[in-house]
Amino acid sequence: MVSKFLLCVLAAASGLPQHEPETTESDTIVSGTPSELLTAPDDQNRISVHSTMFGLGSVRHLDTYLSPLNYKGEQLEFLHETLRPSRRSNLSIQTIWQANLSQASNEAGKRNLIGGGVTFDLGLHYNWHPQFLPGLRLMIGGLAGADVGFLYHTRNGNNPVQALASMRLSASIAATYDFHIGKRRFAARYQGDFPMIGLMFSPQYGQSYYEIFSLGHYDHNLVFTYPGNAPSMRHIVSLDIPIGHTTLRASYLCDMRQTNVNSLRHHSYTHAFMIGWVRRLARIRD
Amino acid sequence: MSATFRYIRERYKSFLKVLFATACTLLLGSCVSEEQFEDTPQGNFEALWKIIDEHYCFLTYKKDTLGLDWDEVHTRYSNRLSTDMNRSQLFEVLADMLSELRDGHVNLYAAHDLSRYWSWYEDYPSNFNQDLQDEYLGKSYLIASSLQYRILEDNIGYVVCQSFSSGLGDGNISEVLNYLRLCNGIIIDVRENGGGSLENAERLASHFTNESLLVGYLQHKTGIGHDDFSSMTAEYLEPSDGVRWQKNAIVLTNRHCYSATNAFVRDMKQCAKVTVLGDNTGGGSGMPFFSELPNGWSVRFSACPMFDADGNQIEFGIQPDINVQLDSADVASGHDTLIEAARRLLASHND
Repeated sequence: MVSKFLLCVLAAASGLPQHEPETTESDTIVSGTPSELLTAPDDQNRISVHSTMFGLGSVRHLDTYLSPLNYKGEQLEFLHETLRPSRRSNLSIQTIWQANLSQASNEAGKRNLIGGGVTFDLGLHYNWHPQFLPGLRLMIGGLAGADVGFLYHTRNGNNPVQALASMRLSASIAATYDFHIGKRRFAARYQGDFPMIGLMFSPQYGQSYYEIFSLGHYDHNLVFTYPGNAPSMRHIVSLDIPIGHTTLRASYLCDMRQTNVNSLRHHSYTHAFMIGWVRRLARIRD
Repeated sequence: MSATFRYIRERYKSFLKVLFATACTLLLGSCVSEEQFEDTPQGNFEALWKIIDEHYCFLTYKKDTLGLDWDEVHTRYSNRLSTDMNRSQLFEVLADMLSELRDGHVNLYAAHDLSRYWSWYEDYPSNFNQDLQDEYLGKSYLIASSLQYRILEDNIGYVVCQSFSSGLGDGNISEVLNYLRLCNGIIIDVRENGGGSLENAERLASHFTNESLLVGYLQHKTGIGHDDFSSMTAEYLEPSDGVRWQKNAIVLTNRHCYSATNAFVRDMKQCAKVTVLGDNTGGGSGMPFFSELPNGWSVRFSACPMFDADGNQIEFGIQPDINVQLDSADVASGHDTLIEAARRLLASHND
């Protein structure tokens, strides 16, 4: 039998379990918390969970190629995540797009540093449902990711910018817990990602971008990274809150990126509070 | 689920456990940071001394040639500090300390002042007279970006380039050389040109060679040690795709030729039909980087040394092929000794 796929977008109208799902043949099985949806029976689990969040937070930059001083400032964050279960196993596939823009000042109050970047991660997690605590789902897996970005120092001459580019494989753990408050069902979630191995671009200690890009002189500009020279991590804690027919997601993002390569030290510490919404897309076979 | 898949999954889990343990240990104990100094006279002094100590590229070279001992400089100037000194007094101490480097690429930028070392040209004859140059250019000269040019009475092309800072394209240069194509020779006057973009300097030089030329070498620091340098990487001057000058050319220099202009003269000296005439250039072969102090002052310093085609330092300038000094008697009679010498030389080449 030829299958036909319907794509049901159930964002605001999807509802969470405070409303009993009014199911029909065409728009069934699309309510519930992300954890429930991802663990629904096999013939029902073709649902992917999409969240989009915007946030504002604090950032601390250090990049000794540009300046030996610490910089503090504000950072705008955008994060879009898709979580999609595998059809016939306990695996789930995750994609994360993260973008940020920041401006920072040094201790002297000079607002000299502007930063920005985009990060993409593609993850695969094994899902485990412990019997001792219904509603809890534990995930363990890995992410393959890449990011590009920049730090621009407005007062520097031949070293005005640091280009940030890297690829990495990260270990990842996550836990989701569904719980009730009254008749409303909430979902709390934590995810921690820990880069393990990767490659990154870096100028050599005193090398100018003129030498790299105009003259084509390369000197250890592609560096192997591991926790010893790039001890980084990202933590996301979120709470899904049912409000009317909408699911809001409130998150705290802790993004700690550090590198110490070519005798150049870099860190960007971000703490951001984010808010957004969750949508569920269902593909239903007739 | 196949047994193989289960085996791989278990192995992967074990691997992740090890990685997590390693990561947690490393993350907890390895915060990547840099020593921060307080915004006090002592803190700013130490920050500046350390920036130069770890990043400045001529400490060993100037120790060998000038006897500069950067540790001794620290001792001597730290004795001039006091906790109650004001901003201007601190600036004076820091500026004096930087002047020990004798480098025109080293500056301290504060809101109220700019420290500098300009002895590389102030202590020498200028070999240049602006009024005379204006007379040679006349009033009907042409301007192509940073190039001012005309044809002199003896059919010699005269091109003035006083800066490499503004954009100078291949189109500009080709237009100039095309205009001068019937001249018997060309004079490129870069006196008083204090530098600018290396790319502009290289672009202009590329119109005077028909083949790829080894013009010098470049290094950069690879660590905080005074002698931590990369290997010397060759720099080649590639011929331009635009109009290329096939006749004789003379480059006029004085002590004010610095930085990118120093590199331009270095490149031109390798071109077959080019003669450099005038005084030594001022030098300035360290490509400058910037950094900053806890109080917000910026500091510029030489970071990447450049060398000539024989691997020699050119920080203190390049000797001309023909040394000619401006004669005061010539000036009094309205003649520029260097321009006249260049005209005679070009005329003799055509004889």
